Amino acid sequence: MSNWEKTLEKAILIREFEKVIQKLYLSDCIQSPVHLSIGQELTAVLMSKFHLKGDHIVGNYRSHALALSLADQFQPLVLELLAKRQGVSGGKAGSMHLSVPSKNMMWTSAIVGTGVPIATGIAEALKRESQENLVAVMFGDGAIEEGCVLESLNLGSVFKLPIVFILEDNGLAIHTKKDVRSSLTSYSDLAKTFNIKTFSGTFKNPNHLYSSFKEAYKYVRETRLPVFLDVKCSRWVEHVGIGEDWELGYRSQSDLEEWRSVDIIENPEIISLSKDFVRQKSKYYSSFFLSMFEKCMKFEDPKKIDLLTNVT
Amino acid sequence: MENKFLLTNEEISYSKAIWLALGQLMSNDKKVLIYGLGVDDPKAMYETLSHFPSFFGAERCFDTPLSEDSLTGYGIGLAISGFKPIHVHQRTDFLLLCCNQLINIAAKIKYLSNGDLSCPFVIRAITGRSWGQGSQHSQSFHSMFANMPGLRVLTPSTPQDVFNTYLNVFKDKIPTIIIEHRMLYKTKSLVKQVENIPKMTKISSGEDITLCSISHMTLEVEKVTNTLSKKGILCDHFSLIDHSNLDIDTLLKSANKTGSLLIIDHGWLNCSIAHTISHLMRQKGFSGSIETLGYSNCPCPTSRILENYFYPTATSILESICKLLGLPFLEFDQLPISEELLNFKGPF
Repeated sequence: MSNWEKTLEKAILIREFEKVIQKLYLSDCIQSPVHLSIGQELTAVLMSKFHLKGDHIVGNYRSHALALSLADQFQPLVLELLAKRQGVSGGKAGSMHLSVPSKNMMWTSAIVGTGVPIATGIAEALKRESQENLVAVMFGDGAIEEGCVLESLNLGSVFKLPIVFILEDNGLAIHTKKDVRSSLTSYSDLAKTFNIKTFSGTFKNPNHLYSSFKEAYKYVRETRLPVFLDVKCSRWVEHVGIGEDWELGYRSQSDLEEWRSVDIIENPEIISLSKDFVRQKSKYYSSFFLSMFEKCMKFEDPKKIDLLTNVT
Repeated sequence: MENKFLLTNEEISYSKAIWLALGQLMSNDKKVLIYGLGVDDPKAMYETLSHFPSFFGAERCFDTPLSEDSLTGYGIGLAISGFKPIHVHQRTDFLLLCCNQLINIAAKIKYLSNGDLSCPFVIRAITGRSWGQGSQHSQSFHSMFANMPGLRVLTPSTPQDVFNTYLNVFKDKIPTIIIEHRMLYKTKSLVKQVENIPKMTKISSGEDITLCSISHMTLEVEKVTNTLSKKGILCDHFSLIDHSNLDIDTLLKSANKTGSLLIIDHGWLNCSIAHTISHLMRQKGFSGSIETLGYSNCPCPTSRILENYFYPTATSILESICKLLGLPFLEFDQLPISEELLNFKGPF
């Protein structure tokens, strides 16, 4: 199987998972906000692609794609989304805080940008105890406007931390476009001012994006210094929830078309794979996750005794 | 462990007690790291970290950028990775910059990981007073932070308590804020090692009234109890350490014996630990008198004259005790302003 086959299959897996949530959400089986990754799957898949044993990953509230791309077992994640007792966090975390402890994805925060400082501390630990492992932390372009992210870029540079700062730039902070929020003309230039090596890529050129990830991770492993990787992408559905939101008028549906035309799931020939492959895998994962959700709904709910456990 | 960090039979200062305890922690566990703005400078955080970089290596006691917010997250990241970081703040006021990480993440990370993660992260914060510390270098947020499940807040006030607080702080893997007070550093006493962080410590014993003091107020109350003892009035005086696990039963036993309780807080009283203690005492059936003292309901002024009105003083504490005991206040002399306050000339 080629590298792209595995990568595409994982992207399909994530998209079908999210589509199953879209199908089930109105039944109220998931009683929490969900931030779907439809259209943005590739960032998480590539992060998992270059993730080695002993590496750490820190994400954010849009956590499904990262968790799915890392997990060997999907049931604990589904149970967590359903707030069941056997969920990965006992139902106390839910969609916005998914984790995959076996792969060192320990935590996702629902406060924008706040996972980035945590990642610097984990990187400090790895700097002291590992010759090759690193931390990859993903955040959106809205997070760049948070002071803690700017502080963390500085910490990464000053403390010489083995960390990959991955900016998932979809141009939106909920409904607010970049030009309203920021005077920056280049996020990479911002990182460069902190003396951080930068890489960039876009979903519009998947092969180049793949190479950028590969080079960025290689640079950190070899130099034990931080990098900043700017990834341009598009969010296809609403910020939180399951639907499209073109009717709100804050963006145009026509903007999406150029991203769909380069989407590797809708256009697998871009990466020399077939639509048949996509159809076959999509059908499989759709059925797989629908069955898993239906099965997991019958699992035990948390008990009152769980409320006060693991507070301190 | 190096001998220089062992306790002796001599009286030691509050700052020396911190130095010894942290020295023992650093000697016994290489995972303990100390960081924060100025921790390795010549003043060594009021001498509590003197020569630590040379004793333990510059990589274990290190200076940082000012970024309090992110450096709190950095500490959490280290803590969940197996380290035992201690983040030092020269003034407690700066903890407000750390609240997001402390409250939204440190306090919740064990709960939301269903117990998989623990966060043995210690925050040292120093509260200032006097000689113009003013409104932003004098605050103590123990009540605010104690409101948060998942955090532990400690205010040791004696050399023995601060020694045992630090020595035992990593036995429980709980994110912990330890609030020291600038005016306590020169206080001296003998120190006896114990195996756990005390929840509350008894400063003096008596049958006439129960007193519960917090932080530097413990010193002020001691001046009052010494005066009263000369007149035959003996006080059960407790100094509160652990705000997150209140030892109400001990206070209740004492107050049931004496019939009245005065709580002397080192903070504003609205939504305070003093009022929480008062409420819990009532809930547990105490029917005697309870009074509380704390900051005046305004920011701390820079003017020394106004500052003297802002804090509870030995005199105002004495006045409250007299009121609770039904004694005429004028019978006693006004008590002088405490020496550690009068003598303090800054600059910091």
